[in-house]
Amino acid sequence: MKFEDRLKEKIKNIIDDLKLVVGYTSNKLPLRVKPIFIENKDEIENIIFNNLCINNLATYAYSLSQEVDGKIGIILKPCDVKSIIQLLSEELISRERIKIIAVGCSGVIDYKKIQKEIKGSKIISATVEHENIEINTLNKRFNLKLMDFYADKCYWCDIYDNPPVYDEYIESDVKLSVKSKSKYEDINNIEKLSLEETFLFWEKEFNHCIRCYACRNICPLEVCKDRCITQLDEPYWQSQRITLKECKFFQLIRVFHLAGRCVECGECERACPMNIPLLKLMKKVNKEIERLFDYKPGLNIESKPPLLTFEKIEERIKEEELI
Amino acid sequence: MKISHFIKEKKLESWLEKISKGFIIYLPVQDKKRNIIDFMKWENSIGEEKSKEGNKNNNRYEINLSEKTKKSPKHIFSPPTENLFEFEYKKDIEKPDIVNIDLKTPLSIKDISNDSNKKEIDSDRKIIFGIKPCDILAVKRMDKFFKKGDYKDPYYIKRRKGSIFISIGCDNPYPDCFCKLVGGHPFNFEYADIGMVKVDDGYAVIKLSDRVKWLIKEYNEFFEKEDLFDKYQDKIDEIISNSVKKISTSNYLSDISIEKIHFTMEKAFNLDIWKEITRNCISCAACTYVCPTCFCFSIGDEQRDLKGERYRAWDYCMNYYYNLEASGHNPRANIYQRYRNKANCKYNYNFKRYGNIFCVGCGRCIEVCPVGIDIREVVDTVLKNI
Repeated sequence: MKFEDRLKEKIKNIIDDLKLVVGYTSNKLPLRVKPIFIENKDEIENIIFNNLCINNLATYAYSLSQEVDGKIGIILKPCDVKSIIQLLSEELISRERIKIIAVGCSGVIDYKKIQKEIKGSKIISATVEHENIEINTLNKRFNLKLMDFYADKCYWCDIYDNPPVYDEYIESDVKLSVKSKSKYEDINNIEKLSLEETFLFWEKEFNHCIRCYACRNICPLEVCKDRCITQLDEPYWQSQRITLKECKFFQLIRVFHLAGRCVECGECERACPMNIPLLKLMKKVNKEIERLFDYKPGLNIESKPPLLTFEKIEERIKEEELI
Repeated sequence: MKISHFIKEKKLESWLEKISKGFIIYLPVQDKKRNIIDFMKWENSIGEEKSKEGNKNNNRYEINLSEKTKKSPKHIFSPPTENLFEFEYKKDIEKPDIVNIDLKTPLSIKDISNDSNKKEIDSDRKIIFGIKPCDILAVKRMDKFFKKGDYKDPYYIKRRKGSIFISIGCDNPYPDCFCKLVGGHPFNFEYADIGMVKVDDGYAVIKLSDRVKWLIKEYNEFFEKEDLFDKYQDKIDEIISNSVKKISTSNYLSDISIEKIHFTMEKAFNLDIWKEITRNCISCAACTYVCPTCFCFSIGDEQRDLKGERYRAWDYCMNYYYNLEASGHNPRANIYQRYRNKANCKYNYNFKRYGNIFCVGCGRCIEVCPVGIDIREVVDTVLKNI
């Protein structure tokens, strides 16, 4: 049976025990998909799964667990399963509320990378073939190599057919076959800059931030978005102005709030309407956390994030050499 | 639609460069470094690059008149943040019971006086070039909110006064454009000062209002001679009708009546379907901040010691805190309630207040939503479920 059909068959078998299943369905906009929430068997035919399914459906895990009684099934790529594991390790949701329906993945196309390649022009229509994508804008046609436009995280993924935790697993038809790349290549380029140059780099990026909070709201781990410290009136920690200074302040709070918790799913960067490279920030912070605490988020339900717990003696931090 | 003037594409930039000496020009610019098309000031983008020496082929900025900008041009008239005034308490040790406040505002007496109906062009001369008919219509909608009614906003009025709109019609609309379904038209130049259509290798002017005739007359050297117009004239009608055909083939909102949709939206208020179709929504402000007619703002006072400012900043109704009352009660604590309010604001409440639907069908919210919400689909589904 074809992969998508096996997935639908599996859902058909388990949906009676579940209150809700969150999956992907097609979107009228080219190269995109959107989430679908189904409750009955006759809606299952709308579920799809293909190499456009870049969204992380774990975004809805926490809010659904608060709103809905009973078990919630979520269709998750192995990288997205990491978000659920992190939520579980922080005890934000309980294990028996979520049915992890993991699917084997062969990589997902990042439509924003394609938009970048065509310099921000609108993608009017697109045809995805085996090795090529044909993109039509208003005035031009582009023929691009599919392999070059997968999401960055696909190029160093090692769990695409091996999700760390799952309740159900549907194996993929196709193997992930992209040329592997170094995970921190883009960070290295910024690390080479001096402190002043780095600061200027991020100033230039955040000049365009409009403080829409899309990055915060789409993150599966930002469960506090309705009580966010950056929007409170009492106490009034932060101004509500939309300026470079305030946008940087908000972003710093967000980055440190996620330090050691972010599983680098990339949704924040995808959601940003102003194309700010937010994932770079998170990767750098996580790199430091890994160096200081030897901790990788999202892999093990039992291990606890280092910034939420403390040890009397930290093995890897010598007090004389903090940096 | 008779052509009155024609300018070849290759002469457009030179015309704009000449005008930029006396005006602030906003125009849609493609930023190749950030891969975004947005309205920018000429002097900060193309103008700046022209004045520098060096390789012209590696330009970062390029005029883009065929595509829609990511954000609407509303930030030109209603910026994301502005100071309304600054205040300072002046204390006198000799007279401790007297309160003196020094107030500073960016407005002048002229700005808040009542004869703000002058037809003359203000010294703050501004041209919005390449603005599409949907966006101009959106500015007229915003005018109803900021300029008419009991509270006339002097900050908005000051920025708006004397602006000239040079509009380029949409000969090739996107699939997510739907201006026709909400009473617009891809070549509606009613509110434009100059209206142009792209034909072959240039732009034909088919609307020219008297107050800006001089913008072309005094720069005649960039425009073509009249005897060339015939070959372009025949094509204009076809271009317009092709565009209208393209934009009318939408799958949603195919048969709403603009006059009556507020009745049906009102009837649909308590339907359960709102909860189901807004499940994807993550309640961020992306759609609100790119929308050309979302006008809500929040005001705050900030003071340190004796000095302070009152500022206002864009607010968004999808915010959890938007309706939070001082008592602690939140009448729109759930996402579906907030999205329902947003859809009603555009298609129902503003119609009742101002006589117009505020959605102009630009489709930016559909493009920018990270979770695939399409306001046409939402309204269509709701209305079908009555």
